[in-house]
Amino acid sequence: MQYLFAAFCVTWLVLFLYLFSISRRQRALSQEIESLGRLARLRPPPRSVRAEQRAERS
Amino acid sequence: MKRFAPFADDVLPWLTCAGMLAALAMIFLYAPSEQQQGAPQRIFYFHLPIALSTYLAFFTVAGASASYLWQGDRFSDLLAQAAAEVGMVFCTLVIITGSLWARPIWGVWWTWDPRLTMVVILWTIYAAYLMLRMFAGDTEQTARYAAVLGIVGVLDIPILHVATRLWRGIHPKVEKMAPEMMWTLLVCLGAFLFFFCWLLWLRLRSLSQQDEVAALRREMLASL
Repeated sequence: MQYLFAAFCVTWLVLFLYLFSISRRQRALSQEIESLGRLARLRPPPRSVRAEQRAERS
Repeated sequence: MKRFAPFADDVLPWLTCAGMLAALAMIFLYAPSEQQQGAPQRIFYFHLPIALSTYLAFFTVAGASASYLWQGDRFSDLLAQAAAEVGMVFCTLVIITGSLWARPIWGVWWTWDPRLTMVVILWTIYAAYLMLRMFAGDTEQTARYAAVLGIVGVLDIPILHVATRLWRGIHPKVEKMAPEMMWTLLVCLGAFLFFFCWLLWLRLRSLSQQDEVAALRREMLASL
């Protein structure tokens, strides 16, 4: 019976650890997407757009 | 992928949970005890479905790799990568549960039986696949080499399958079984296939988001 118990415990442990590692990587990725979005809002427009804006003003 | 997302996010986890609960109930309450092996034989209800999920994972790697080499689409490459990772987790579990079953029945944790040896070779091939992915950089050349390895690796599975008959190994073959045992096995198989699909989906989504982030970062750097 102990081998049966060990086999089931190991299977569940490995599968849960893998699920946990996927969810941790996913969380880190979501944070990165969020920070990239913040950066995109803060940064000045690209050079080509700035040149167009200057041309329109003049 | 987006069409499949609502089903994968809302339905697959619940199907997996329900399947696993049903499988556990059937293993311990419904399936009869095997007369010769006793309790350790119940490991079989996890061991075989995990092994079949491993086959499915590595066939997915090979199919997606062939599609990548044929069409060069990024989705196939990501699918192959995700399936290889999930397949490795399942293959590791096949070896561990097999070893825990072998100890009380054969008296040893491990023996170089043809089928067991072929499983180790399969594990090593896909470990090499993942190492190639991890350490050779995310380039088109790496993806092509990995695709070739993914296709070559799957050739081990048919050999593994007939190994016991070909070289007269001691690994048991699935023959006639009681209907209660067959039903329990089918429920366990369904539960593990749902689990496999769910894990594959989670990993695939994560990899494709990683890809999008990398593209976004490159775009931002280029526009500075």
